[in-house]
Amino acid sequence: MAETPAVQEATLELHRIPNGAMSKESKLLVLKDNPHFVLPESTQTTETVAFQVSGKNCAFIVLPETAAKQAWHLKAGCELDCFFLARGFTATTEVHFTLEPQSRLRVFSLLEDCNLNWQAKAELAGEAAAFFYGLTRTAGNAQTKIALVVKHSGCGGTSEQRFFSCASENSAIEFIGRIVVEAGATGTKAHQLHRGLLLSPGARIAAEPILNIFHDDVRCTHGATIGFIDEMALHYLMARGIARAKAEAMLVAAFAGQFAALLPDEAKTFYGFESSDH
Amino acid sequence: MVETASEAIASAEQATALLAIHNLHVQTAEREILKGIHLTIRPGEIHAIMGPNGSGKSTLAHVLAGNPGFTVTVGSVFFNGNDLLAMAIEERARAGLFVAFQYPPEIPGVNNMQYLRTAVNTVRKSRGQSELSAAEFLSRVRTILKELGMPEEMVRRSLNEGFSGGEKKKNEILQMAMLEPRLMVLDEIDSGLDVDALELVARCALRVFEDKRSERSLVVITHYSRILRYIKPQYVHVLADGKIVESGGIAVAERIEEKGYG
Repeated sequence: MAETPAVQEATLELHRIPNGAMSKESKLLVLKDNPHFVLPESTQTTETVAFQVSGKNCAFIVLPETAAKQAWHLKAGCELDCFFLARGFTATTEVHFTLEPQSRLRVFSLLEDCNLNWQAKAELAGEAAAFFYGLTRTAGNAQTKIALVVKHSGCGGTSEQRFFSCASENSAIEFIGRIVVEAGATGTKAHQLHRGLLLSPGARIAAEPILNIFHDDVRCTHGATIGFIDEMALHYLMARGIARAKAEAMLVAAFAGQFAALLPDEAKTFYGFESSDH
Repeated sequence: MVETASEAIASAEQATALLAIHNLHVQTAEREILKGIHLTIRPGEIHAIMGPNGSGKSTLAHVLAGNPGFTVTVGSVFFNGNDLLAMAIEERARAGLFVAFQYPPEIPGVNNMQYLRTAVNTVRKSRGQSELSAAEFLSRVRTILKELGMPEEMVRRSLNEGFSGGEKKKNEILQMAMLEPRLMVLDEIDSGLDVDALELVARCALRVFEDKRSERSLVVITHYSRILRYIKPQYVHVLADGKIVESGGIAVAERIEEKGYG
């Protein structure tokens, strides 16, 4: 049983709507001595916890301490950064974002050694923007599945999915990324990129990009690569005197570094990456 | 066991040369590329290896660097008296061999500066030298950057990522100068360089060689003789169809410049 974190009053404006009822609560749980580390008040894992967000906010969410099902609604003009972190647990978790026009969402996820089914969905109305960035690392026999749907239902929306998967030993990662552009969603820009790095012959990574485009005047792209460590890069580092194990570690760290490079500094600390100052 | 005259010569060369290549045959999965290379390089010497496309010049560089894509079927290579072909890739570098790559790979996420410091201190440690402090390392890097006309920003970026062809070649020379090797092999370092950059690169390579001329050797692999205006070799070898078909002085390069390989 996880110890209940020490709490203090949050300074962020975040309104909780439990069980779909409109009750406004501004009190949040924040881990003591770490003002960046914010948890919603509820730690229930069965019900859906819904948040309505306005202004500029960020939420640091450690799974599974928060609810297994979350619903976030971003009001017009809202900017929200969500940082998900999961290490070594088994669960299915769902998160659903709805974005009003002119709102902006960034979701970062670091999933490590989990038997996890992480399902995320974002619905964008009009000129909203949603960016999903993720790094998934597995080892042993862990199996992580990520299913992400980004749906554009209005004109001028922007979305990006950029996910990095790194599997070792006999673990497996599956990434299913779907982009839906509904009829009439003129000017939509949607991009998806998945990169996979296999660290052993027994590891598996599968990437499935799905594009459902029901309108012509849009710009959508997707790309996916999966492979082992680049032998040419490895050879290059070793040809400068660096031992194989160290060179491999550098290349694996560099792979993860592509995700770290997308993070704001405060999130680097949260995820355990070195700040860009170092 | 009876030693042939050829083997006796090879044995004597192994003892005195910095690099002694004897009857080297190399193949890839598809075909044989090097068909019996003999080459001896002593400390203080500058050699140029010239030849048309596909003659095997770069294959020789790859084999020296330990590229696993090439298989040595016959022959020997001794570096400073040690069997180079028996050495792991990183051991070759630590022993003082540096091969500047013709096509340095881009490695996103590996910081150029951190990588270089790791490499330099790893090599120094293996040679019994003390590691460079951050300040000393940076000071040396800055001196060489200036020498090569490289902005400091380039070492703060990912290794070779987004670098132009010329910038990659300069970055090779930066690494070479920092690693202080005994044998420097420049594989088509002149390709992708404009006239001014070529002069900077050549002068820096020559300066590193001259710093410890009695211990170091330089091998320039090239199609063209223009880099040889700055780095003047005592020996020029012409490679064709996997064999050295001619060796001589700078006059060989001058003739190739005038009349080509035909």
